[in-house]
Amino acid sequence: MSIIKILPDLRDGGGAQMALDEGLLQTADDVLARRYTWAPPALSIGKFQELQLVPGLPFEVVRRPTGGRAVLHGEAFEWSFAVVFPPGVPTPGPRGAVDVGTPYGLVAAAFAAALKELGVTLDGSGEVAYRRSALCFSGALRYDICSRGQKVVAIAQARKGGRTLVHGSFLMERPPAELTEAVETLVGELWESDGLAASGVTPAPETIWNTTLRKLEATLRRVVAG
Amino acid sequence: MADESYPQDLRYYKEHDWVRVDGEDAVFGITWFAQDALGEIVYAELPEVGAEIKAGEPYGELESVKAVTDVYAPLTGEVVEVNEALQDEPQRVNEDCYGEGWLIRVRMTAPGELGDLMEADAYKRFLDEA
Repeated sequence: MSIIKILPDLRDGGGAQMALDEGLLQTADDVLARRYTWAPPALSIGKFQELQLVPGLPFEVVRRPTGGRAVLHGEAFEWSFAVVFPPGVPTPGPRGAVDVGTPYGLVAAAFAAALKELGVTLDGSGEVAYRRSALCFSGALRYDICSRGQKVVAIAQARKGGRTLVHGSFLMERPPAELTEAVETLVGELWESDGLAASGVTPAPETIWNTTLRKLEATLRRVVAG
Repeated sequence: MADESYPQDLRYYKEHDWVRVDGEDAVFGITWFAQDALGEIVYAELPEVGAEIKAGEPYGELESVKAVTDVYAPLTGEVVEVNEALQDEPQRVNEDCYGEGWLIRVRMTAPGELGDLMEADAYKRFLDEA
């Protein structure tokens, strides 16, 4: 029997996607995982991120329950994922209440192992200071995944009632110019990442996700077994 | 960041908060262990003065690097002061968690709850539990 309960893929707007992630964060009693795509395109912003909006944007703007900076989403160039841990998982006992690092590390390591297995060359991990950029894909932090200098996977987290939501964005390729130019105008910064396309190896999203889940399941079995 | 410490004059709550009793008021903050586990604090969402908070329930949120975490009230009471300096310098929570990194001051309405909190040595043992 699997530790991870896998939910069906969902294609929907940003409001519905974030409401579902928030709902899972408040109710999950098992380790849950889902993959989702954003239609129409949307810009998600961090829970406390301030952004002055303007009319006529070619995407929706939705606030995430997690921290971090703005992320551009759209099914043509990106997909998202969520993993929700119930209370006591993955870190049991008193220390689990504030253990931010272990959930991040498990998910990031699963993605890294999956991408390596699929032939993607990853950059060495290196933690940098939390840059005050408004765009998430403009700066790599610990637990983000990069290939050939391009950020590929961005991960954020929220914790509530002992549960932990780790969700993130997998950038397959550079978004259309119409979207990146609107983002650049909105935040006053240049779009920097071409995503996984820069690696020259682009497995299908379903393949990447299924391989990642297999790696995560194997790791969680070791963690739960102690 | 200061070295790990758990001052003897404070009381501690299981969600990794500390309490400093000051007359009928109590000052709340998060412990050295909590700020170390959360990482660099970049934003503090705290209640307004006058808000009623209840022991065991979240009263605010801290954003560390891309992670948003609830902060739980160790005691019941009314918020009488909020550390406004954290709006511009949230990193004070990391740099001086028992001093300039305090979060809120509360007028206790159920001071008997103090008996439910841990002394420093008990909190250190609590941290060592598996």
